[in-house]
Amino acid sequence: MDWPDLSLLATLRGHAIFDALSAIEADTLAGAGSLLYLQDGAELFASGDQPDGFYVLLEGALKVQVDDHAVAQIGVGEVVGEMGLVTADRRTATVRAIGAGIVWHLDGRGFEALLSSGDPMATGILLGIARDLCRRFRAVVDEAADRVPTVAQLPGGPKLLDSLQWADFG
Amino acid sequence: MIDVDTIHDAESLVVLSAQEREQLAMLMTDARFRSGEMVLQQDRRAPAAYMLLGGALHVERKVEEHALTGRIEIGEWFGVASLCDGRKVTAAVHALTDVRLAALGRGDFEGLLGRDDGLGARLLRAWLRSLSFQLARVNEALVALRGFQGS
Repeated sequence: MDWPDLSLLATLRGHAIFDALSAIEADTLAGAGSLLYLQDGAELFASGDQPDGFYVLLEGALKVQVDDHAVAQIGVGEVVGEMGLVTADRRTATVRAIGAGIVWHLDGRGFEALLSSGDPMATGILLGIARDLCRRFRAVVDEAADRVPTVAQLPGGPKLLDSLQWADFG
Repeated sequence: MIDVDTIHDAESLVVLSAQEREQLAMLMTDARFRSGEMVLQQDRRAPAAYMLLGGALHVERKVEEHALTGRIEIGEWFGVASLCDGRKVTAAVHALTDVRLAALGRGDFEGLLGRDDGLGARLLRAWLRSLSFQLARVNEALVALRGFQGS
């Protein structure tokens, strides 16, 4: 694959999925994906779609929508659609471009081939995605913790805090 | 090693084959804690990832004089993030009742990643599923907090 701008490749190589790979493996993996150019509002995938691999945002921004409500925003260097590597379940959210953008796409069938053959790249990719999820998870928990003292002082705040169901915090 | 039957029906391992569950069971150890005992301390690295096999656990992250509390269902993993990224856990876990856990130690996990039979990758795939569900759960809670504060 030809890279129109080496800064895009640098952004991709900065993602955690490349951390556990050798330089040769990283080059191979980067070349195994494809670049998609998105226009403002373009749909990357829609709720109900069959998963087709995962994406890393290299330029621009993405919004994640559930029932037409924005629930999250994806920034440069972040991964989206990674559950497509884990289950065959249909997509549960719609992801659209905010402004023009560029994403790197790794096809799910290519990944399955790596996994089936016992290629260590599959382990490296999954470990990188897991670390990325951990980073996002910790950021969410940290923001929530920062909000707790203020919420606890507001009328109804303690009741809300009691009612929230948290996971194991990692 | 633990008896494979103890993890056979675990929803969190649904992506592993029966043979892979047997291989995993050979690496896991039985861990038991008495009611009131601390399983994981906040702000320390987890020595292992654990699957809850029986009993009840309390999860708590202290925030000044307040706390965020969590839950872990039978068959769910905890300590996974700390094993994957090598960082400290963000909450304490202690036993509300006598509990039984299946533990995969840090060294065994790292050894799994280096194996050439793909089991490490498949376990990671199972854990990704757990991590994604947990991320969705905390995201929902954060959205509720933001909404409550009007920001």
